[in-house]
Amino acid sequence: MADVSTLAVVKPLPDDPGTSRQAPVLTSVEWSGHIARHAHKVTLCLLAMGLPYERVTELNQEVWLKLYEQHVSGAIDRLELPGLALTQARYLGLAELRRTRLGPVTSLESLPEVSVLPRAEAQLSERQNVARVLAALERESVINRRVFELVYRDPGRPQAEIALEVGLSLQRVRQILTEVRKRLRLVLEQP
Amino acid sequence: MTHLSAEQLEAFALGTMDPEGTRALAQHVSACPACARRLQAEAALEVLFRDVANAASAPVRVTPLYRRRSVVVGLALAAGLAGLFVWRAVPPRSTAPIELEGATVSSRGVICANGPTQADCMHRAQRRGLFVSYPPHAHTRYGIEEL
Repeated sequence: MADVSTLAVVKPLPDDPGTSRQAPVLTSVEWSGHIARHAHKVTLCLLAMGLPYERVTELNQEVWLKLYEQHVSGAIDRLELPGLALTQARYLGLAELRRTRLGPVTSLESLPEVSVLPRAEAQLSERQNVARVLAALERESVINRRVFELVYRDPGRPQAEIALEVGLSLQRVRQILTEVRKRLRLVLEQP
Repeated sequence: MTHLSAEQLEAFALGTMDPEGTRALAQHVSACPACARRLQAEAALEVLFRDVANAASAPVRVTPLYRRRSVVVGLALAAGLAGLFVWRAVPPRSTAPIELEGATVSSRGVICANGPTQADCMHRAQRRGLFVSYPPHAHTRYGIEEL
């Protein structure tokens, strides 16, 4: 994967009283920290949309570059990460899918009609899957649930830190995670 | 060509794969459509698990007890019943002179005699917070002595 933490850093704008509403301009080190922490989530989000890996790495760079430009120009009031990065990723990902699936548009008639039904069905199926996995998760032991929730609630958090919090070895945390993922995956594979 | 193992896919999804492993994975999926699809499926699963974790740890919205209609109604009913019980069981002492037609009044209560005035006697006695009993065995059952 291309290293997104090596993005060229734009020089921060000088303080302007007229733009006091905007979030404080971050230093390049702070930006690199945010990117290192959240870039993988952006990668997974784009991959989950069905985009090819090589294109995902390029779009990931684009996501952070756009965010940085918007932040420095004062267009972002509150820099909420990873939410903003994931929203930007979904937007770019959808644009990419439209572009690659439709190809060059020559006339309006050549475009397929838009139907909301498939999207609604997908959302319903997604909700049902979440409910099924949630029910399966509740059958897990307390410690298994705790590990799963700590890992997935904040995926950028080092697993060693989580191991320390729950009082288990890192190896045991990884083992629990693998076992729980396997069982939850089986739930989804059942008809 | 050796395809990606489940462990490799999981390590990538969990973000625990080292940079060298990630480079090898990227190289492989660019040439292997099957593994590229497996990687996408793994990523989708990971996104789903995050939704699940967020749903599992979402704070449950609790309505304060005092804002629940059922609790308020229940408490009001309970208070009413308790008040009635106390009122019936421990009548306040009255020092006012008592004049009840057809009633036998003692320091501990009233016995309303059978007859057309019994209902009125009971009603008036209850309004004064007096313990009301009925003949013929009131004095033996409740210890009310007839004057």
